[in-house]
Amino acid sequence: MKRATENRALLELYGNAENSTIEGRATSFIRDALAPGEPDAACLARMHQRLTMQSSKRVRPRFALRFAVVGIALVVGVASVGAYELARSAGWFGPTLPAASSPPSPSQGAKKPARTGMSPSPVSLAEKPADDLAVEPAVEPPPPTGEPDVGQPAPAAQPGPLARDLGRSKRQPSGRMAFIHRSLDLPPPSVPSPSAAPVPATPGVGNVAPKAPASPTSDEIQSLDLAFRLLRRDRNGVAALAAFDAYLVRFPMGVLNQEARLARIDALLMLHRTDEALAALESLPLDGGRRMAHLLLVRGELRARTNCAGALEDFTAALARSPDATMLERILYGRGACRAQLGDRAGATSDLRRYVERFPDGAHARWARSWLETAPKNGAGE
Amino acid sequence: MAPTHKESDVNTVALPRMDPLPGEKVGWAPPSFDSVYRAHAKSVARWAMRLLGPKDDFEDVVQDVFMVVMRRLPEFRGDAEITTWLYEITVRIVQQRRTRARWWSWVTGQGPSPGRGQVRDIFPFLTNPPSDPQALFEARERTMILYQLLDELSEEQRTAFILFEIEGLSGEQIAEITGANIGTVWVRLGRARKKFFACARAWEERESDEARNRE
Repeated sequence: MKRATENRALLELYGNAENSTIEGRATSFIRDALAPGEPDAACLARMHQRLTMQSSKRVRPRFALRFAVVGIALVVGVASVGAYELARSAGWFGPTLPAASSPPSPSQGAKKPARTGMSPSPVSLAEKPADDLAVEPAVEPPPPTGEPDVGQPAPAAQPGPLARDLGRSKRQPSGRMAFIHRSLDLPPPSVPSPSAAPVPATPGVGNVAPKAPASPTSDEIQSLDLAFRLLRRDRNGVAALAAFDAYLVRFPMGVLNQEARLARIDALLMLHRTDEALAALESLPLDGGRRMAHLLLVRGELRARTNCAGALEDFTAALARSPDATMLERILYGRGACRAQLGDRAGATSDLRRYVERFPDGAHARWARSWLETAPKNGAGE
Repeated sequence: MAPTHKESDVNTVALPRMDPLPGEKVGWAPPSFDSVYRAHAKSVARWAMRLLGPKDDFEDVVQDVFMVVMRRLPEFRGDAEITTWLYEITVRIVQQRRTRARWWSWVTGQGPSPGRGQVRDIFPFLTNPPSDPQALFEARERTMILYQLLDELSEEQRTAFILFEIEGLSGEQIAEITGANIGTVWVRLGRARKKFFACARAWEERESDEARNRE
């Protein structure tokens, strides 16, 4: 089923060397590509030295440059507008029109369904400070269907961090520009609205995409999105768990079923229901899916409470999957402590020594150092 | 109930103390810059190399990332994993860098990625490279072609593709790192895959045309 395969990587789908389709041949580039490694100590030291030397030098000039650029832009902008006003008042652009003192007609105001649900008039917009016009979606735009071939237009701009950084938020004209529009009796420019605008679209304007009829996939994504928000943003384990359970009941063969089951485990952990979390992890096939290293680590930590031997296997398997630094710290500590528990002092010494070298300020560094100092001296072989 | 470890009882090995569970920030304190650098610089460098492709300026990216870390570490409250936070910064800086490079390449008429034979080393540091020189050469060539195909994607699609297909992150992790919702991530992935296959087909056709012209 096509939708069920969307959650799997290309390497899992087409990575077979005998696959002679274009997908297989394209995927072979991924399979055969070189993998970057970690820089050596000399490179790290060099970078750290540059950071230390340049941290004070680079900040001030950059701020000064930014202020200079902003200042120049402001001066140029004000000078341009001032020159235009002067030229207009001098009649260079034809007879001067009287400033509009009355509010615009209702039809003009209704043409701009703002994302926040307001229907601002140009007069009210001109009086608002610019910051109030920053667009935030009141409702998440309906996600498009999961079929990439449908060819629906991309969802309208969602002001994520990158969009905010690049300053692409849409604003109504304010201040002087609105005054100019009023003076010339021009209708304000229409603001393109996202397809999720809560107000109904004005026929013929075409600036609000008609809401697509709910499809199983868009419902599924909305349902899961809500659950993730409850878990990650609101930190509400109870509600998140209920939402994930509802999703799994409603979409037992859903595209994102695996994601939901994994996130459900995080919700159980948040509620300290560790036995259920461990049971859920034991029932999942941890054989190469997403977040493999992290899942093995969590299962190892849960197993370690009663079954160090089983936990050891998980820690070792997680270590073999090139974990990042945060996970490596937990793995080394978990495996070291388990080995010490099981009497493997040489193995424990090796792991805990590596832990202390890599994470001298780690959460368990003090305990690890104490153990290394007091444990009987042993060969530090692995 | 499993006994918890006591600091004074170092000779009696207790079961590992559980790390704070998600949402639990008991006794959390913001890490120092040096500890963050020491613990995560290698990972950041690897991510930078992976996201940049066959360029040798990953050190600049790492430096930019840790400059941001230096400025924003006092504000970091531990709401997200520090790894996710660093990944987010790395992705953003690489995207900004690549966007600037695209503009520059448009102005100068050069491509955003170096052509074949123009780069001596794909990545300055490699994980498990082939020992055979011929195999290593072919792997380098194929890696360069891979990144040239990826250059045809938009930055958001390219990032999602690399993080999912090559780095092996989950859709939820990518959503957290890129600040998009999970539906958007899946859409970007779907479109990236479609375009990737189309570019691969076009590349194959160009190669076979060139081969025919050479004969």
